[in-house]
Amino acid sequence: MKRVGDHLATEATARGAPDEGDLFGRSAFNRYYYASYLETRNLLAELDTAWARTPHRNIPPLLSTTVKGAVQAQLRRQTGKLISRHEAKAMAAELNVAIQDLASLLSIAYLIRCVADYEPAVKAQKVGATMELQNHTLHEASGWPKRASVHTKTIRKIWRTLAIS
Amino acid sequence: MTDVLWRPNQPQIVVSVPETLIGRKASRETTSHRQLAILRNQIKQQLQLDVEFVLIRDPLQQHIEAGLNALLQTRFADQVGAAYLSAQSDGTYDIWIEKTAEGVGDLALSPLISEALAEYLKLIGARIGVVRVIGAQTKAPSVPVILRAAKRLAPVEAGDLLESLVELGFIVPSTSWLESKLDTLRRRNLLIRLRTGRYVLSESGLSIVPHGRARHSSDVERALALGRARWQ
Repeated sequence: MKRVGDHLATEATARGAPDEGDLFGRSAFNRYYYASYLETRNLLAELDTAWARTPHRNIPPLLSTTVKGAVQAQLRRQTGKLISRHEAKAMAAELNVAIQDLASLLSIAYLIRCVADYEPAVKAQKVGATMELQNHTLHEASGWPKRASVHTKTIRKIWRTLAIS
Repeated sequence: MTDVLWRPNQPQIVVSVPETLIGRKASRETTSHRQLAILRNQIKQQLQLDVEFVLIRDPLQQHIEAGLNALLQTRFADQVGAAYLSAQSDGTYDIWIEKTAEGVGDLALSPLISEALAEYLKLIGARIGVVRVIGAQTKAPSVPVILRAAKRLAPVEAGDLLESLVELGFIVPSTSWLESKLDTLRRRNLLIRLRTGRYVLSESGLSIVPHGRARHSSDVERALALGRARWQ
């Protein structure tokens, strides 16, 4: 998915006609969003199969409340008994950063993807060597999947360490 | 706020707020989660718009991160896939390093990379905090994982527990390593060692293992394991 996004992004910037650049560019935004979404959906399916069916828009709040809450509850329960206070503090800090960044990324990426797919009147513009849609560049969007992957790995690691499921 | 995203003709707005501007309490320089929640409700009531406040990292931090990635990709492309920064309230930066498939064998950072990270942050007047390496999953089972496996198989001997953990993909350094972990759990009154040498969970142990009604619950796993044992 990311590779397709990269190809579309290259095509978008290489095309001379603004309309063509717009079409390829907005498709690249779509692919970059889906690459990040699928990373996250795989994680959610591993944590709880019911979460895999969460609508796109509800994933950021699910991460920030339900997933985070489940881990925090276990941290409270296990601290001092199965894990040390230091370990619990480090895990909580890691979890906060990972969930906050992943939720923010998905919120922004989802809205841009919706604009790219359903709002043809809002054009992707060529800015320097990249395309921009609603102030977000393809260069930035190309980093979404990798970033999502790093954060999902962190959340998965903490979840497994605490043996939540 | 630094950015407002919206969809034409849709009652939905996403507002980006740098996380550095969120304080415990609202002040002249900072807002708070509570203030954002009040604002969200007022906008909903007065304008019928759904506002989502998204906390983003400081744009300066993003530039520093881009520079760090450029440095690591130039000098250590064979070992490091990507690096991410997280600013801490004490002025330090925690760094997350994702190793490449080739570099993942050793989860410790090479001294050369550690040195490069410290020098880079020093150049921009920042200090290095905790460096976390993300790569292969932790190979040795954590204490919660051992206790959960013991619950599933109880009453269980250390040898059978070891086999089960290995089947789950963990690397258990040795039987004595596992026995020392079990002994620690026994001293904390979470496990009981029977005269037969088998281990079972105490009431405190049972209360601490994550459980619930989901399919992956330890109770369901336990019931399935008992069923399998009966038919073997």
